[in-house]
Amino acid sequence: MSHNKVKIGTAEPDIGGNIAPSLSDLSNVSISSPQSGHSLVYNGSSWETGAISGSTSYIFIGEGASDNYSNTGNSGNISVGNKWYLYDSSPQNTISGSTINKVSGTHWVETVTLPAGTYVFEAQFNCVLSATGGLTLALYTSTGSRLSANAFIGDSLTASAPSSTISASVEITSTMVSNNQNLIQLQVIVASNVAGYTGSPSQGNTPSEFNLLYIRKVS
Amino acid sequence: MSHLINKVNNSSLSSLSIEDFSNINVSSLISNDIFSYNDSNSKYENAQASSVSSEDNRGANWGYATTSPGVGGNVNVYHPTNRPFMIFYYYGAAATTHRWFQDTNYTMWPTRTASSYSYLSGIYVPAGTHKVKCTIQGNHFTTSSECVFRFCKGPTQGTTPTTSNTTFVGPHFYSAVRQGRFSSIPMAIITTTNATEFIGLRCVSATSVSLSSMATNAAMHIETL
Repeated sequence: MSHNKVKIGTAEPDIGGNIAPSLSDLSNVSISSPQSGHSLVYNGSSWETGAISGSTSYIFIGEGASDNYSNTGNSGNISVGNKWYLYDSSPQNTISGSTINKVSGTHWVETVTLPAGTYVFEAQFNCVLSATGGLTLALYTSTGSRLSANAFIGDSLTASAPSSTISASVEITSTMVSNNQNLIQLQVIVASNVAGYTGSPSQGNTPSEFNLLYIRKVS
Repeated sequence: MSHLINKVNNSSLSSLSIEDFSNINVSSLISNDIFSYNDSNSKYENAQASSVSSEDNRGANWGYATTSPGVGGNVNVYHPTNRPFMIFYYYGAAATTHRWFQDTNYTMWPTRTASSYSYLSGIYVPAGTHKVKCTIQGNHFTTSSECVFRFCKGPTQGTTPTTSNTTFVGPHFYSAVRQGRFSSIPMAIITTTNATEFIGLRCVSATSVSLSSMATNAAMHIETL
């Protein structure tokens, strides 16, 4: 009686010639300590176990700490077209390929660079007013393309005032990445009696304590 | 001793497919399925990716209504047979009647409303990264009334959260009667490392606001990412 020495990985055939290999017996599969909820994910060259990336990767900026808005490096009045900064000494970022860009030497975030993909954005903010008025913000690319509807805070009781939270779904295409249109920022749309970076009254610590930006990568 | 290979799990070598592997379990396969590991049977099973790791399929939810279910929030949005969230528990109801959790790793503080209800409330969560979101509402006494909230982290399950054993985390949020003035949907991403840990919404300051009444129309929703 002759025997066949062929195996698949570590699996050997039984006396009936039947063999029951597992996935880890394949040359392009690497399984290490799988946990419930893990998936087989292709990493570009082989299949390995891990959580599915993308559906739960996110950025959250806004630790609520106190820092003067003048530390953004600006002075004087806040004007239409200005960036609206967020403060976080340790922003949370699990989106692979993204970058949180701060004003040099500070923890004030001015833009976020995102890789191609689809994202959901949420932002909230607050500011100091010098008199009855309000602040309107929207999500923009640094190259001037609008990505969201307006959001408003203030005590101007006008019928046109939108809601106070920015919410948007945005696709960053590979073309946008190639054209450097993937730098995202909050931008001032309307500033009515909004206190300045400096002067009296000024923004002080209010923006750093109240501003937040949440970005979730959907796909 | 090795034997001649004729078949792999009763499939010929010329028609070997992934279902022939011993730790693969395929049923009702449809487009865009992925293989997800099930540690109850140590097999990879096919599933839609969105049902495996959506941030919406884990967590807890709770809130109060002052009269009956349906008042004070999105009651029944997270029905227990559709979503593993606790739905709103309302004032005066039995504590076991109107709340649901993903599992016993999520528990609520307090377990029942009372006239002396604290302004510090929340959920004990398992270790992980949590997206926390609340709706809040105040009982404001004047046109300039306002209050400020922040999320806080605190003690393990079984220990009553207090202002002494909790620490603030994340941004500030206002509740005020002045139209459109302030953000009012507290949200944060909070990472906890203890087996159980309290996450709550804690009052930072208040001016002419009833804190005890505010809690009766608050809701809290935790998505464990």
